[in-house]
Amino acid sequence: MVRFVVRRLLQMVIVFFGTTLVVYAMMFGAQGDPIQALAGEKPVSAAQRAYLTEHFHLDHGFWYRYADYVGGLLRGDLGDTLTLRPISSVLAGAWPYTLKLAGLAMVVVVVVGVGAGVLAGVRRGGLFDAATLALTLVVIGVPVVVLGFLGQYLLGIRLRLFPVANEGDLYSLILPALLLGMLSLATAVRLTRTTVVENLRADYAKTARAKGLSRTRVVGVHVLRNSLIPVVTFLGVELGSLMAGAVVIENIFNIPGVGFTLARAVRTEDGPTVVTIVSLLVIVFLVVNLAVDLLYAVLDPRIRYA
Amino acid sequence: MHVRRATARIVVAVVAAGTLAACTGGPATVSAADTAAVVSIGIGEPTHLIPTNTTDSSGAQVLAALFTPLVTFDRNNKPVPAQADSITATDSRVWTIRLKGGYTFHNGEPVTSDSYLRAWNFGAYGPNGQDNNPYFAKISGYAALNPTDPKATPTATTLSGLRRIDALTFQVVLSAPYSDFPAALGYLAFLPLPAAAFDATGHIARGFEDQLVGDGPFQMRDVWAHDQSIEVQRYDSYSGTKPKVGKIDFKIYQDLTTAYSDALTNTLDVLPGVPTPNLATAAKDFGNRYRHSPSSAFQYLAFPTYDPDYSNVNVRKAISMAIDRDQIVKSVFAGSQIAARSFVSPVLPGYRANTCGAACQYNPVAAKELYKQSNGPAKVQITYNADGGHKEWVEATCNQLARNLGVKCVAQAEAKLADLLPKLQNKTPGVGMFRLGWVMDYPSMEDYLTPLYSTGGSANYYGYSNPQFDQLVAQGSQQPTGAAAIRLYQEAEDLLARDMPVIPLRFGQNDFVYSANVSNVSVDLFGDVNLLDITVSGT
Repeated sequence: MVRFVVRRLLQMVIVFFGTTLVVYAMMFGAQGDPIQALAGEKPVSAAQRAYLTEHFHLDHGFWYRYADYVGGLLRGDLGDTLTLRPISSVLAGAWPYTLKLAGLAMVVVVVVGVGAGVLAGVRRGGLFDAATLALTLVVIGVPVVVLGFLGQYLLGIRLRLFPVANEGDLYSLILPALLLGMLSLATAVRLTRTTVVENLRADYAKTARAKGLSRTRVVGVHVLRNSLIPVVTFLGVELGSLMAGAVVIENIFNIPGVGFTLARAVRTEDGPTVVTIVSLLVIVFLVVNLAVDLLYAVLDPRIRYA
Repeated sequence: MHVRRATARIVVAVVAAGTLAACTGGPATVSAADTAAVVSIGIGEPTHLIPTNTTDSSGAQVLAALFTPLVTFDRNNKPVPAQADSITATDSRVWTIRLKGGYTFHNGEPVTSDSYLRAWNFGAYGPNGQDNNPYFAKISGYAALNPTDPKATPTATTLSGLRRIDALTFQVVLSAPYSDFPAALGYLAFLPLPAAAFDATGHIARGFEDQLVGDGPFQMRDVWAHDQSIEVQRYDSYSGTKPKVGKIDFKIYQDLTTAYSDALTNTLDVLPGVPTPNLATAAKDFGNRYRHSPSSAFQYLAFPTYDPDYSNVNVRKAISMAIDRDQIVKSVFAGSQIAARSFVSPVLPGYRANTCGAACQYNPVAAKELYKQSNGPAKVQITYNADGGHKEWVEATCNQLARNLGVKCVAQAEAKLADLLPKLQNKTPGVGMFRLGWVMDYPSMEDYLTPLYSTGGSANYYGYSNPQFDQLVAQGSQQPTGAAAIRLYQEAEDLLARDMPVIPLRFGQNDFVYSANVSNVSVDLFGDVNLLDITVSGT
């Protein structure tokens, strides 16, 4: 078990440096004139151009700049954004928002998604099952951009049930989290339903029922636990798409989280910021997947790590 | 929470109305209800807030709350002293600036000559990398602070043209006479900074930009919450005109359409710029709370005059005559911009309508004839940047050219302006005509003529060079009075109508909306909300 974790962590280091290299190279290749991109329509003063060029080594080649960047990382220095704020403090401000948003979205997915999935599985072929099938198909088919604007317009502007943009409190994050979770929610419902249906037919479920256990116990403990393995795998992977969705949703609802910061950094060709955020997202993704792998053993004691 | 906040606002409005009723007839007094009044204004995240480094409109809006400039502008956009008591010169070269006494920074430090000299020397010193550095170029000694080789160390650290006379008086010596200098002093670059802004090494102290200390009607209420808000409150010891509201929250939006939605639900009070997609419905959404005010923005189509296709003046004039400006304003901009037929903005002292003459009047028949006579190219191209919402009007313009001149017209997009400008700089072939825009820094014709049309001007990407024009502008700058200068500037503008290096297309307007919570909302020609006039509804 310990060896397994250590090996995975070592792999992470390699993946991390690989990612930074690839992303850095892509930003380097796509970059036109980041200083002009920062200034917008106005010409940039020669003094500022000289200053920024020197500060970010823009007059040096790719390997020099990459080595400089990685060197900084190893010293624990994430570097500065093009507007000369430390990236670490930008991220420190942004992460809480994204964590809150993704966390809320995840709660929605788990509670509603798994709940509805189990219900639909148990009452297979019923009205509830048919209704969720139709509804989830519609939701899966709509891109998150459309969903975001539609939700904001209907629930925020028309009905005024929720604030249309972030106001700094948890309440204003509920609508964006709902919309963000919606996509994963639909898949979670479908997946849970299928595995529950499958497991209900399995021998151990029949045995449990034959032993005279109550239906609630059979479904709630025996079937659910076994059904959760594919669902947990899915949720782990889904965290990645939640982060990607956050780029869109955070922009629509003006939430200054990681996705919001990333979108702006891409727009202003702010290389160091983009690379740092993308690399951190990769780490989050890797860590979550490790956690998912470890969860398997909890869900199914037969699974062992070597 | 959303609901709770709305209720709180209503209570404020009711209390305010009550106080007013109690003291009708008497002079307007500052009541407790006033100080409690909060107004929110939507802005983007400013890139910087140090005055010598602030160039974007969001930063300018915040600085308008936190600082008092030497001059402001009257109804006719002529400079009038604000923090300055007087600005005088004998020959437009040596200017003596006398400050009003009694002004203090928000930390209690008095505003003196040193506050200005300190800030200006910092901004002008090349290695400090300030974006407004070029605005000090007219002051004597600028070259010593900005060596041509950016890696060399400057030979001086202070401008030789700045001289302190006493605590409230200082002298500015320019390297050449410049009659519009008082107008230039209204620009952000020339704001003062307190001693507390600097650390022992002469750099801006760490954290100062996040908790700015200015000398304006408002002071920071809290540190700058990046990407969220900048909150300010009335500065009680301010000796200028006091604002009518107690607090202003500048709410920061990444996407203006979100800000628009917030204004629609009364969560945001003022949005100084309506996003283009919302222009069509703004009148319906906001009724008479959707307003326009003049702005200095100028949109034009430029020619690569070095390109043989466009080197003939008559070809350029024919293209201009083939464009129906009014139609594009109506169909693409829903009337929110104004057709341009002059080379400088109408907000300027010295502006004359129709200086472009017949060349800017829509006349498709004459255009086609002239184009044929002068052997215009069979295919023309307009390059634009796709990041500024220009696609629609450029394509409409292209269609008009194709139809009216019988040519093939291609509207070519560059992803960003940052991609387009280097191509223009390097005179890359194949760009064709291109769109550009200009917003002034201060109301002076010279601020259009020099950067846009003079030889080597900072925004002259079209290779236009006319020594006679350059000379007229230079002579204008050296006149002792503004009126004399304007006469020469106008003569220079007449040359542009003859040479047609660019086609004037449209003058911009500020389109703004505000919620039912506020009244007396106005936006000045720089696009900033007037913070001294605005009131909360019911007061």
